[in-house]
Amino acid sequence: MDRDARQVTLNRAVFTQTAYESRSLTVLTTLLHRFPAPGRYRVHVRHASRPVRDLTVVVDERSTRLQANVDLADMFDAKGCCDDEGNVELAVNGVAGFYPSTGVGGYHVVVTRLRGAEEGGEGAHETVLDNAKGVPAGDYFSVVPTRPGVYLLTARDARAEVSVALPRRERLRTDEPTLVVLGRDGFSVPSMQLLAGRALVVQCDVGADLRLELVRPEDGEDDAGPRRRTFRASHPREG
Amino acid sequence: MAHLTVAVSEAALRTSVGLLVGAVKWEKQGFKDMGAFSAGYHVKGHLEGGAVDLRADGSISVKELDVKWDKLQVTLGLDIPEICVGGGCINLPWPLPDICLPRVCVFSRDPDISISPDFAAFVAQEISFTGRVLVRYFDASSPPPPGFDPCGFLRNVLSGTGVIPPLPTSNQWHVHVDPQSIDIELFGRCVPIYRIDDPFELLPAKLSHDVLLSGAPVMLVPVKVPVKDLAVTVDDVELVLQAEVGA
Repeated sequence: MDRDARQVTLNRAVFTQTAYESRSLTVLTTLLHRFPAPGRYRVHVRHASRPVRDLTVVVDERSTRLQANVDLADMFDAKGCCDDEGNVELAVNGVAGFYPSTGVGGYHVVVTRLRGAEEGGEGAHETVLDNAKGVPAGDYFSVVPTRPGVYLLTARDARAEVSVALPRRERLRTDEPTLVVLGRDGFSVPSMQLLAGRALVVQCDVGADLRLELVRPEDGEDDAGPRRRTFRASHPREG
Repeated sequence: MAHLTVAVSEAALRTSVGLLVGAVKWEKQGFKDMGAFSAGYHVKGHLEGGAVDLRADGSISVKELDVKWDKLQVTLGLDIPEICVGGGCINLPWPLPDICLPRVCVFSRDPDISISPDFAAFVAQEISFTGRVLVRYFDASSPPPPGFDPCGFLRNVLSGTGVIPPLPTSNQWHVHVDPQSIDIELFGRCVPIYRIDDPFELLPAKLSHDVLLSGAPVMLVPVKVPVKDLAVTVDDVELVLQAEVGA
């Protein structure tokens, strides 16, 4: 009857977050960067309480790998992410998704293209992504809101209202993300409705700094109002 | 017919009961998986102590027989399904490849919750009982009683765990202590404290070289005497078994 004593940790951040920003990647956010040009890229990851880590993305026309998701909280141990030396190989136009699966605090990701001598000389590096400065055009920012309520999605001067509801009776499938496009004229829709646990993906046709914040949490009561009410007599009874 | 009388002193009876008590140990465990829920148990215990007293009124008193639990563990398990959010893919127009989102899970790994409290340290039981000796004749040829036989069940459990020998294939006299007042029915009428075979083997079979002058070996048959009308009495000094033996 002996059973494995397995230590299970609750991913508390899944429930406690109310604001998500592209400039600071936290649990439930993902920044998806496309690599349209072959070459070598250095990914520099910083976090306030963790050591600085680097990895190399090699974009090669011969590669067939179209996407690699990199868990920033467990960067070098994540299976399917990197090889033994911390390298990620991608095809041209491949996508790298940077996300932290656990923990608190935000991650800062800088992707730099390492130019060789034939491309203008060694040491002439080009920064293609710095999430602290914004999401570049062509990239995607994904958020998975879990708390029900009304959120405000902002980017540049654009705003959109996102209503997040808990599933009532239906069985929730979380693998059905909703795509919204951010262009020069703002978001493609002014408001949208989501089920908690499903991803909202913003396709950035223009560079932007995105933020999703819970502005009106739903307290879980039904439409009839609070179940408990207290009535008090305006005057004490005589007697 | 000859008469056989065997007297067992209180000290000898105390030793007999002590041996029986010392041999009583039990351990059982099981586990059942019911999908989302699981339950199991693990019990292990033994008997200790027990003061035997022969009383003048013909009864036997056993006091302060302790039931010691070495393990009294109950396991309740709850298999929580994996809870993850996010995931899924976005289809993009050709030639852009689709992008797929990572999933973030609520628990760090397979979230099985299991509690296994062990109540052994909190449970103690003491048995005291007074009983009268009772003689029964076990006829090996008679069929077992129909339906559920609690005594048979207890005997099977105890013999299966090696605490007592199984019932014999030949006839026997059984001496029981029939509890008159007891806290917990443990043995009672089910398990005898003494067993006397019928016929009783006085001399076992053996190979002898002393029978024939030539010294050739001869197999001597065993000497067995039938035992009839076994009776047991108790006074404050000894336990006396009386029977008629021989044809």
